[in-house]
Order: sequence, then C-alpha cells, then structure tokens
Amino acid sequence: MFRVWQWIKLPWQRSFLGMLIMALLMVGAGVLLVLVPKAKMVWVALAIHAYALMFAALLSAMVYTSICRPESQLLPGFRRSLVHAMTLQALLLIGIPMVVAQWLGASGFIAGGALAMAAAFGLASGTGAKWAILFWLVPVVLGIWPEFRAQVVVALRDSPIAPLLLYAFAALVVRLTWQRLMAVRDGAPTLSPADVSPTDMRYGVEALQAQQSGRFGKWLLGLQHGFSSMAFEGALKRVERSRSIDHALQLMLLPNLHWRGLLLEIITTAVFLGIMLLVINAQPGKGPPPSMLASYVGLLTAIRFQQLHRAMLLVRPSLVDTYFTLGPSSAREYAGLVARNLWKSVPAAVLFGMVLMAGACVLIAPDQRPDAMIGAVFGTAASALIGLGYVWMTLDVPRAFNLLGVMILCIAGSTSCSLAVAAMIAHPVAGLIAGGFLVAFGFGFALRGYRHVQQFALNFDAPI
Amino acid sequence: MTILQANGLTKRFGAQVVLNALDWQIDEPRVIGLLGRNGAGKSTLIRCLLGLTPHDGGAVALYGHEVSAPPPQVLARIGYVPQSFDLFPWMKVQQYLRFHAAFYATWQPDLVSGLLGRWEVDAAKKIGELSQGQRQKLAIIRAIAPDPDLLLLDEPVASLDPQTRRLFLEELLKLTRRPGKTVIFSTHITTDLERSDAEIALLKGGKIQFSLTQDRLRERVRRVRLIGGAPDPHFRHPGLLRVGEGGTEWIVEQLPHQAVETLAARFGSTVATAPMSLEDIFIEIG
Repeated sequence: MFRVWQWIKLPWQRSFLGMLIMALLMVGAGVLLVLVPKAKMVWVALAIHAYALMFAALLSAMVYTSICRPESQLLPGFRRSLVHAMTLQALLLIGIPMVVAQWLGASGFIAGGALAMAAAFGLASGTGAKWAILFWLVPVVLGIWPEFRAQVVVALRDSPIAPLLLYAFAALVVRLTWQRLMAVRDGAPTLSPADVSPTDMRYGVEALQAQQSGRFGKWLLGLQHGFSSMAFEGALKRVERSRSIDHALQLMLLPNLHWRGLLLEIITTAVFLGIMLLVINAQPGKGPPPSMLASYVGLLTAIRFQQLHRAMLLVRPSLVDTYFTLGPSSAREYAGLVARNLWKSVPAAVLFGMVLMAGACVLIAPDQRPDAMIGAVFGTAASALIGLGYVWMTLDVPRAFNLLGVMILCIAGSTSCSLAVAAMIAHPVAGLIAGGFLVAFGFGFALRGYRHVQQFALNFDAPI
Repeated sequence: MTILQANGLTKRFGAQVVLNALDWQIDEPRVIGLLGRNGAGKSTLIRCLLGLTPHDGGAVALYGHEVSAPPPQVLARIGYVPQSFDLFPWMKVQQYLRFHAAFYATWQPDLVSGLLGRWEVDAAKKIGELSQGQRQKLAIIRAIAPDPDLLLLDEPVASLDPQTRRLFLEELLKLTRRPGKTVIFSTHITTDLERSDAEIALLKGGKIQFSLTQDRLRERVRRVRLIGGAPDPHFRHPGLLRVGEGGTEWIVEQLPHQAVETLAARFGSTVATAPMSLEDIFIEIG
C-alpha cells in the first residue's frame, strides 16, 4: 500500500497547482449535485468531473512517463504497484461517480464509460502519444456541431452496444498507453531542441522523453531536418559573404523558419485541417459561428509559443557555443541578439494562423469570409505577439513546463482572435478599432517582454 | 546458482555490431572491472545484461531467470548505477529516495542517511539542482541502499572528486567483503580497479576477450627487457604485441617465460621482466 501511495503522491509533488485545480473542480462537481440533486444536473456535474479527470490523468501520465524509464523497471514490483495505483484511482474517480449518477436517476453505465474514455485519453495525451491528439477533436466537433452531438447522445442512450464500445475503447487506449509507458527501447533519452517544431503538440511531455515517432513521423522529421540543414547551409554561405551571423543564429534558434520549412508546415497543416473539415462538413445542419472557429485558430496560433518557450529553455545550455563564437561585449548584449531573432517567429505564426483560418472559412457563410480573414489577420497577429512576449518574459525561468503559462496563452490567443473576427463581421469600423487595439496591446506586451529579456544576462542553465 | 549468463548476446545499432555473439558467465560472487575502449560497448553490454535495452540475438539470464521478465525477487537483488544520471530532475533528493525505498524490504535507511551526510548531498535539494558529481553520488547511494547481491555500475566514478572516489571504493569494498556479493563496474580509472583488487574483463570486438584476476592478467601480459643484443625494431613474432626502445623492450601476451627466453637468445640476449601497471596493460591490449 505504501508503494501505491507513493505513486498517487507523485503527480501532486510534480504539478501541485494543476492537480489542486482539478481536485477542486471534482469537489465542485460533487457540491453541485448536493445543492441541486436533479437528474438533469447530473450530466453537468459529470461533464465538469470528466474534464477535471481528463486533465488530472494527463498530469499524472506526464509524471509517470518521466518515471517509467527502463532503469525504473528494475525496481521490484514496479509495474504491479503502478497497476494497483491506477486501479485504485479508477475506482475512486470513475466508480463512485458511476454509483452516484445511477442513484440520481442517470445512467451510471454510460457515465462510467464516458469517464473511462476521458481518463484514458488524458493518460494517452500525457505520455505524448501523437494519436491522442485525435481525441481533442471530439470536443471540438461536438462543440461546433450540436446536431451531431445530439445524434451521439441518442445512440448512447438507445443502443445497448454503444456504452460497451466506450469501455472497450477506453480499455484499448489504456492498453496502448501502458505499452508506451513500459516500452524498452534504444536511444539516448534526450530530445534535441531542434526537434521541437512549432507544429509539435507534445508540449506536456518531459524533455527527457525519447522520440517515439512512427515511420511517417520519422520520415516527416527527416524531411524537416533535411530542409533545416539546407537552409543552414545557405545561411553559412551568407555568413562567409557578408560576415552577418544574424540569419545563421536565427536558424539555430528557429530551425524550421525558412521557406521550405514553412511550406512543409502549411502542407501538413492543410492536410490535417482538410481531413477535419471533411468530417465536419459531412454533418447536416448549420455550421459553427465564425468567432468560435476564430477562437480555435487563435488558440493554436498562441500555443506555438509554448513550444518555442520550451525549445528556448532546452537550447539554453547549447547557446554557450555561439556566445563564445560571437564574442559580444556583454552577456546582456547577447541576450538582446537572441531575443531580436525571435521577432521573426511572429510572421510565421500569423501565416500559420491564416492558413488555418482559410481552411475554416469553408464552414463560414461566403459573404462573411473576407471579413473573417481580415479579422483573423489582426487576431492572429495579436495572439502571436502576446505569445512572443510570454516567451521573452519566461526566458530566464528554471522550469520548462508551466501550466499557468499554457492557460494564459490559450485564453489570450482564443479571446483576441475570436474578438477581432466577431468585431470585423459585425462592422468593418468596429473590426478595425478592435483589431487595432488588440494588435497594439499585443505589441505593447511583446515590447515589454523584449525589454525585460534585455535587462538580464542570458541564463545558460538547463531547465529543471 | 549462476549469477549471470549471456549466451550469443548480439546487439546492433543499424549496421554497427556492438556486441557480437558475446558469451559471459559468472558463477561465483566477485568484483569485476569491465574494461574497454570508448565505444567498445561497455554501457550497451551492461544495459543489455539488465534488460534495459533490447538485444538482437542470444539470451541473458540473471540468477537463472531470463532478463526480459525477471521476477520481483530477482530484481530485489540487483542494483544499477547508470553512466549519467539525468532522470527525475524535478524530484527532491529525499522524495527520490523515499519513492525507491518503498519498493525494497531490504532498504537501509541508516546507510542512506550516513552516506548523504558523509558525501554532502543535500536531501532537500531538487535533483536538477545537483551538480553532476552529486547526482552520481545519489545514484550510487540509491543503488547500494537495498543491499543488492549483484551491483552493476557504469563508470560510477567518472564525475567524482578523488576524495569521494576513495570513499566510494571503501563503501564498495565493504559491500563486496560480505558473502554472496557480486559487483561489475566499468571504468577507465584503472587505479580504482587495482585498489579494489577487481578481476578484469576486457570487452573488445564485441566479445569478452577474457576475465582474469589481476595476477593472472599480469602473467598473461608482460613487459620484458632484453639485456645484450636486440632485434630490429620491426621484428614480429606471434605473442609479441610490441617492440620498443630500439628493440630492447618487448610487450608479450600469452607467451610463456621459457619461450621468451628462447626467442631472446636468438639475439644473444637474456631477459628481465619489468612491472606493468594495469593502465599500461590496458593501453597495450585494449
């Protein structure tokens, strides 16, 4: 039992604030049921509980991923104790809500299946499984397509097999996640900062985790590396011609920021987006509001900067090389040089956001599309500037992952883009005023971050 | 019971064969120093022996159990110190040790607190805040704490200062003086091997070339000086590893003393054996 307790404690030790928020949400869901014990409220409470459960599972899996190294598997009873800990938590956090839901007149069986799914995908996402990204499309699709959501609810309610499928699917996901956690593979347990591309969604995974890409992922990574290498070769020739190191330094910091890299990113994004749009478009009924689509675009644009933040922290120790090579007059000057090169990530992020928005326009009424696109220019620019400001302000922090930072980026990105698009569609003048204000705010925030980073000598320590 | 048995162990990284049908068996408890040049595959061998990295061929058993699925009672007898300890940077030292203590019935809290104090490792610090040397100390403490019967250490002293290295060896010797204890450690610091009187196993060409006590190794590889005449410096002969000092210094391997004397007599010389340190031997045969 002592071992099981150790496992349960670990996520709290690692991510106390995140786990506390999720625990409070779960308690809040329970309190809601006590205050309003009606069958209708059960599903609201379960939705809150499922959300908290999924993120608690995600945080736990991130910790477990860092613990479940081959070396740890030399501990006697290591696997068994983790199974016991996970089972105990499932009994408490899925079993009890199931019983309560049944007691209050809702289907405990369906509730349990949905909670098991949420927990399973939280676990899978926490281990950095790329396929788990697909799960994040489920709430997006359900959210922007109420008719489809209604069909799912009917299927779950009326079909005797559908709830069983939830359990079976959750079990399959847990099984795949377990194999991933306990895998014994070759390779150094390091992740090169250059391998952290802006489209990489594994922002929650420990830097220690080895690359676990499939064949397609490795091919894509190889292509990225090849393009980066070609771009760097060009930059080196430019250094030899003009003695200007700026472009080469920029490619060291942002290895995918060149025309080939951007083109590759746009193509992969377009393919991913195309599949998603095909799925959504296949559903009958009215499409989602443009501001909601814009909020997702803004969120995805801003979250790129969490990747950049993480990559910058990982690359910090290696920056010593260029520091001595360039020989700046002071470490502060060098910090300024590094910071200056990051400005170039803003146009790339805006381009990425605009590609997303152009795809999303398929779901928007034709007469609203031009306004939505113009609004998105302002919105994505504001999101990118806020994101970059965040990167600069956190360049000297010791930790590579900051839940609060991710939340700030998500909220700031989605709010600014959705506001800009909504205002532009409402009236062009309102759109220009709102867009102008948002970009000015973003620019001011970024400038504050830029000045902040220049006040300190660059920290070369590896993140904790 | 056989402590460790590797039969035909093969490990490749792409086209590069690192371990080439390696056979190795340890039947009796003892201290073994694993020697080999950089890239010889020492770390890979240790990781394969423990099942920490998949192998491409052959079989490995620890205490009679296949290493891919060792039972908990076998794992409880094993300790391991990795070459570089960069795991769990967010954990505090005391959390790390408490977490591991939960898995062992034989955990020695007094030994742990004693070593933390003597080796000046701050238990309240995060692992990520420790220096490389302090992390290495922590990894050693964690490996020794459950009183393992088989301890594998992958260059455990590379990051330690001479004082701590000496203290580490004392602890290691204390452990190995007790019955039933086996230690395998890879290192480049041959003086440590001499001090611990370890048996020497040489990994070369993907195979364990030999595993010998230091006395036997010094009999096997010798430096002899020729008194009198000398052959051409380019003189070659089976068992003669190197000719130096204008032909008057020979390094011989597996060449009986009688044969050396006979060979030297061809050049009108007598021979005198000169001492060789373990480092000298390693340079000649490594």
